[in-house]
Amino acid sequence: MKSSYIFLLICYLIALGPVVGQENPSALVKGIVITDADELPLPGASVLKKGSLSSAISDAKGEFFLELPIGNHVLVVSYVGFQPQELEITVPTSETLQFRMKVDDLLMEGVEIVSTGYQELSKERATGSFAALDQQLVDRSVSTGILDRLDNVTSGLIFNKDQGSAGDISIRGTATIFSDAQPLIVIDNFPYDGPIESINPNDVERITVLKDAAAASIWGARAGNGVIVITTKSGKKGQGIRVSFNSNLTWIEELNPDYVPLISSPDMVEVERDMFDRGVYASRERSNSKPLLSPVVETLIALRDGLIGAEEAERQLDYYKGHSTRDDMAKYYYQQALRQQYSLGVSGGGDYYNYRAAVGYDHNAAGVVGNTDNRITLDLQNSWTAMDDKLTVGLGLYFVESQRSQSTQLPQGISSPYLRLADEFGNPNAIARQYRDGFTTQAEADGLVDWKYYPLQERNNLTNTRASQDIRTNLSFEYEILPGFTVSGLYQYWTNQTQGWELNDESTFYTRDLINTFTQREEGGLALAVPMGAIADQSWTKAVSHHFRTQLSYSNIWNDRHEFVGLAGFEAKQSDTNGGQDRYYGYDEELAASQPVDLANRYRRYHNNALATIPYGVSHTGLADRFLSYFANASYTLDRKYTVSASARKDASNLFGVETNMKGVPLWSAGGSWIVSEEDFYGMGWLPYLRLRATYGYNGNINRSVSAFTTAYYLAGSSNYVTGLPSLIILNPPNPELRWERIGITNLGLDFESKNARFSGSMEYYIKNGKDLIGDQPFPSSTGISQFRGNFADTQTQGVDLQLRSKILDRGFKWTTSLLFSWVKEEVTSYDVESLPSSYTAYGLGGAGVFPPPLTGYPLHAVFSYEWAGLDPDTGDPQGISEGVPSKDYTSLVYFGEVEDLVYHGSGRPTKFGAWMNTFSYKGFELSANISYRLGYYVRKQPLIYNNLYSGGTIYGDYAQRWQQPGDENLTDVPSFPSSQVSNRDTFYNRSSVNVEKGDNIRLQDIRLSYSMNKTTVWGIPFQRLEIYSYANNLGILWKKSDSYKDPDYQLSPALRQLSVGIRAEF
Amino acid sequence: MKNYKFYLIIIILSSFGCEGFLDEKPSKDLVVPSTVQDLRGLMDNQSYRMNNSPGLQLIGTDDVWTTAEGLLGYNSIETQNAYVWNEVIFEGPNSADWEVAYRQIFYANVVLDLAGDIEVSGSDEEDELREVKGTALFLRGRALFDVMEIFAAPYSKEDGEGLGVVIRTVPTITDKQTRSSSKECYEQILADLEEAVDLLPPISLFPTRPTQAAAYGMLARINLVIGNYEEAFQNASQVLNTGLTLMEYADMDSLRIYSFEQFNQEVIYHTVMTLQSFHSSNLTFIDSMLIDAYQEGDFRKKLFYRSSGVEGYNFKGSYAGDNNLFSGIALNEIYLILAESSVRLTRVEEGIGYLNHLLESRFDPALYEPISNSHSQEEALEIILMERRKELVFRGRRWSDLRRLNADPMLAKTLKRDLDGVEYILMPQSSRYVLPIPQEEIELNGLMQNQR
Repeated sequence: MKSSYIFLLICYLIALGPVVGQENPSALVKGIVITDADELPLPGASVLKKGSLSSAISDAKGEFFLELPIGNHVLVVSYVGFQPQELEITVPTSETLQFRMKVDDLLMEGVEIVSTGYQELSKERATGSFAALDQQLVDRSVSTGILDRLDNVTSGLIFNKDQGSAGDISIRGTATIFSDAQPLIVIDNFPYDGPIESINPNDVERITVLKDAAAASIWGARAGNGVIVITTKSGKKGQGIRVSFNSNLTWIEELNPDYVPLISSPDMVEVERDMFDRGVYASRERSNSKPLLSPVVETLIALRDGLIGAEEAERQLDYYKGHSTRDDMAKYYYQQALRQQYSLGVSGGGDYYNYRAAVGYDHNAAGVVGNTDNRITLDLQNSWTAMDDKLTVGLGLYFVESQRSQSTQLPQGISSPYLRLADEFGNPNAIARQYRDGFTTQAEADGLVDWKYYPLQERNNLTNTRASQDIRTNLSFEYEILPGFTVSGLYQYWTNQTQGWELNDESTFYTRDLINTFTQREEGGLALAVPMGAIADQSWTKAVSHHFRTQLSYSNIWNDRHEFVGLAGFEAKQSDTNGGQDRYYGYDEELAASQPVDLANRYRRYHNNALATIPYGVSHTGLADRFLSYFANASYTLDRKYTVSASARKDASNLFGVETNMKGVPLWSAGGSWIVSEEDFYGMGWLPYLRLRATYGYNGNINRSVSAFTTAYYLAGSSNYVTGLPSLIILNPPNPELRWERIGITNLGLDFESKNARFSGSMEYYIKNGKDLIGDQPFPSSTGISQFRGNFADTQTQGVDLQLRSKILDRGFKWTTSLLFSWVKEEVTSYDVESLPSSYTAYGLGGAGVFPPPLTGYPLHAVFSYEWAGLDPDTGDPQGISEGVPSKDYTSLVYFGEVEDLVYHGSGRPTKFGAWMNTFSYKGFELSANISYRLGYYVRKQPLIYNNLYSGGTIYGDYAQRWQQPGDENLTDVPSFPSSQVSNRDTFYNRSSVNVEKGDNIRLQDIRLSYSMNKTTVWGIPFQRLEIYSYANNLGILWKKSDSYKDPDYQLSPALRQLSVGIRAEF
Repeated sequence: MKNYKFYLIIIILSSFGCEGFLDEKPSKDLVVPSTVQDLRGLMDNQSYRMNNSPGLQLIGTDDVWTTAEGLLGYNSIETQNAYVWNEVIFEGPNSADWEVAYRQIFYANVVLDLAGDIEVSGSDEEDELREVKGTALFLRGRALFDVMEIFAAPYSKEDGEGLGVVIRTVPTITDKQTRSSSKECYEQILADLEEAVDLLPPISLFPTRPTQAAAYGMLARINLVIGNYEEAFQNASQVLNTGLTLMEYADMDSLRIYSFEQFNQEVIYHTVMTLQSFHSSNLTFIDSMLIDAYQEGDFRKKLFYRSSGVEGYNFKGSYAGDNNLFSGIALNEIYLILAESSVRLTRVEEGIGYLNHLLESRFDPALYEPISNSHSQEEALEIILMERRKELVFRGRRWSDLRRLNADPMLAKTLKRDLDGVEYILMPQSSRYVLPIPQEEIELNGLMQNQR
């Protein structure tokens, strides 16, 4: 801590030193260099007084200052890829000189500005690996969330579909196992802790993805998974008032409930009849807990007990056979979702003040009837300059209010495929849930409240809302203390509050069930332990964070050939999140009054007399994050050809139980680049631009789940159902050797562009070495734990990211094409322990897998299976191989084999992926289509679990293809229905090699069609620019390797097609 | 102006810059256990089953039987295997009973390890710390005994070098241990419990926390199992000295769905068996010979069982007060230990006296007739063992009793099952009385498997 003070003190002493006075009469000239097309500031442009050595270089905001003698001068601004601009000026002048740089068509397509969150650089001077999305690409797709817009347009970035969580992103593979694997998200200079849904894409100007050590190491210990830097819009200097408006509507197709095939109703009725005859339900029928039996089983019981005749029974069974609950779901629950988006912004800028104000409104009606969410965003950005432009002060406010309301819950506890949710007139039907029909009917007759479930009655009638407010305030100043030296300070205050309110009134099954469960049989009648009235759950969270950063930067150019840019600084973060949940019983909404219940004593449950406490429904959370970081980076360019860069950062945090000397981790990077085409000896005229880059360095990862000490957490007394005493659970056995995860990254890059920019692109090769990654080591349970988390794994990821762009036609009709290709190979290079074979075969089911334990020599997400030996021709039993011969000893096959005997398929995540986008334009029309591909990976098929039938559930639709008689083994691989529960038979079959296939696919991701006009092309319109667009997403699979899947990336629910239309106008 | 700015920044920095900044806990509910209360919290953890004992072995005893439908309805393959004493029992690489017991041992070791570092202030805290240490020793001894009863061969004094299980006395998980001998295991168990006796309090607020009486009761149970009858008798007598009294079953209401209250007056230390679906199935029937053994006027038949119609009787008499099966120490077991150990020590009259005292509280006074104390030692033992079976039904003792009594040819019993026309037999002293060690331990820890 002390050293940081000294460091800062020195910074400020330098900063506050006296400015040396000038003797000759001269004046300071101020100017700004921006791109002509996008009006983006152009940092690093060189400004030269013609015929002299007086020069300056534009800073991160594109601004420069030049001390010039009084008189007339000519200034020349030049920048690689742009046409040089000359301007005659008379000094002194109070005006801000504006240089609008036009792209040099002979050379680069345009300049890309990349933002690291600490500084803005031209990609030209950056040695690291960046993927930049400009405004046009950000605006190309239509979505409520911002991250969706990165999909299939960002080199090296992939959305994973194997873990079932939406928005699971990997940048250049995965370099961690149990630490947070998601990239760090930075919004306007600071890591964003809030829900990413709060960011309105209409307020985003551009996105930069930092991929290698040099690009990301400035983010240190949190940069191991890459960094996504989002820059929001702001007013531009000298821009004039500009009003922009964007609105669109998106329709999302209705979910087809039959997407995942399920056993048919006739099959299910027959299965239940068969199992009934075998006595499978006898035990449940007589259980004290009165568990639910399906209507078919109840019919069969009635038939057996002589309550109904055979004819009536058949009639009832036919009735069930003739219906599918999924038809009811489609009819009553699913709908086409509709999303509406509106955004209005005003921005402008003068010499001293820039601003932007925007308001956005989103309204989404979900794919389930009655569920909606809304979002209002308010964005205010201001910046002032003063003291001859030496001082810039910024103030920004971003406010989001969002609301989600779910008045419909999909029917719960539907375990038979033939239940009817409505009668023939469409009225809500009663459905037995949890308990047998007869039991609930009797209970009601005995004086309890109705214990039946009416799903349709609850449709649209629930109260379940969640509101959140998110406020982000930024305050910044920047002051040029000496020519070239700038000191800046940034502060961000962020707060996010959420309030949840769920009210289950007396009419809901939830509340009636709880009242009935805790109805006590007492002498003289029944007594209620849970009062009548609604049950209300209130939840809240409040998060507050303070971020503070101060840095000193220096940039200079001298002798017209040396350029230096550097910065050093210090950053601190404090973030606290508190939350809680309360429950009210007997709640009366009109009176806003509730009733107390006895939470301490145990009551008998009505259905089985077991003792239980009334659910407490109260919880509390409190989380705190503390970070202290020191950082520095610098780059030096010689002759505009050779650049070297270096960065270093040290992070310290309050990670629990990390020894004090381990709280901090130093990380660094170094890199260089060389514009080969600038050399005199370079003779390839057809390729006028060629640049080589190389970087090396370390990033880190954070893991909150481990500790050097024995760590435990408190369980409230409510979870201790016998005594109600508070207790502790051990989270972590002590691990004194705990270290930070580190990832060493090497990146080699090549940028090139052919004559007339007909063909351009970049190619990068990288190696990421994960060191000391936190992994789980299985321990025998006699140690008291089953696994232990520590620094057990080393991994290596290598890959290639290729980006190619080409202008195929560039006349009146334009055709450009761009191709993204990424190849990634992940390998575990060292992992101490081998687990049991069953641990390796659990992963790989698309959409619902679990993370496999690492195995040396294989990818992190390796798909393994058991060797398949076909179905037994006599019984239809699945067979594996044990010691070279077919075996049906499933327990041994599943658990006790050798890991070496497993079949290895490959990675469960695509190893080759990318997208190919073609854009055609003619006059104001533009059509672009993006085709994405994911190749080189394996997916496990949906499991078929016969045991589910034995425990009263349903089964996957492959049931219809099962083996039924000898000979079927030649037609199908689906095993027969076993006549009793067989240990691990289902597990073996589902994890055998017959159920793994390649997931490779190519799909038409989206198409966008737009027509735009502006004042110069269409005379007389009241807009600067007007665009009408339509966008269609998730259009479908063009090719897939295996026909076993409808869609290997969407096994559990489909990728729904979307169609949007919208209008964007600028005044 | 400039100075002002400078100071402002320094002030902002200072507000972050204190040493405590990085010492904030990342989550409020996290702790590094460091107080007596923290250790107490570890021992009080019911949700992590500090008060559990093994529950699978019950299905292998002669107290229960079920139909083919019932067996299918358990929906548990390990129960189905254990019912007919298959060679393979567990479906996966783990066993809940093994895991729970060793988790208890781990928690106890953590507590004993940390207890050494805790600085106490005042005599109250000192007492509390001593009690918590006693609790941990008690738990460690009891849990190791539970594992021995299931996963190691019955103890015999002649063959003390037979394989026991893994002894763990430190929380360090990397400290690899293999199976110790049976003798070493029992030495460890007895040493822990004897040390616990001196540390535990005479009374405790909750029967989930062990007391001196609980430790004596546990010692009595264990000494009886390994044939140390004198010690068993002494330990059990210590329990009686605490002045506990038996319930009068005549006062109990047999119409209740579960006949007894949790924490009733006979409960000395509360544990339940790790729940299995067969524990509460209505197709888990009581052996009809056992049912028939209750005489007229014996309230136990009404209080312990519920008639399920033609097939037989289901159990409803758990001292846990609900569908959980009580397996802790209760006063009735102590009387039976006193009775049996007295008779084994040839004090027949004294033994019958203890038995009669127990039975008196179980019978309708009008129909109660004391058992004559003029029986021979063998006859008295047989009577007492039968009463033990009738009294301690579904208490987790029967499997252990079968194992120890089978060593005596006079008391040995062959078990039979008839299922769908197939007969299964479990011979006395069969190796199937020892469950297989979970496969995970064989693979990861290199333990030697039990031969079945």
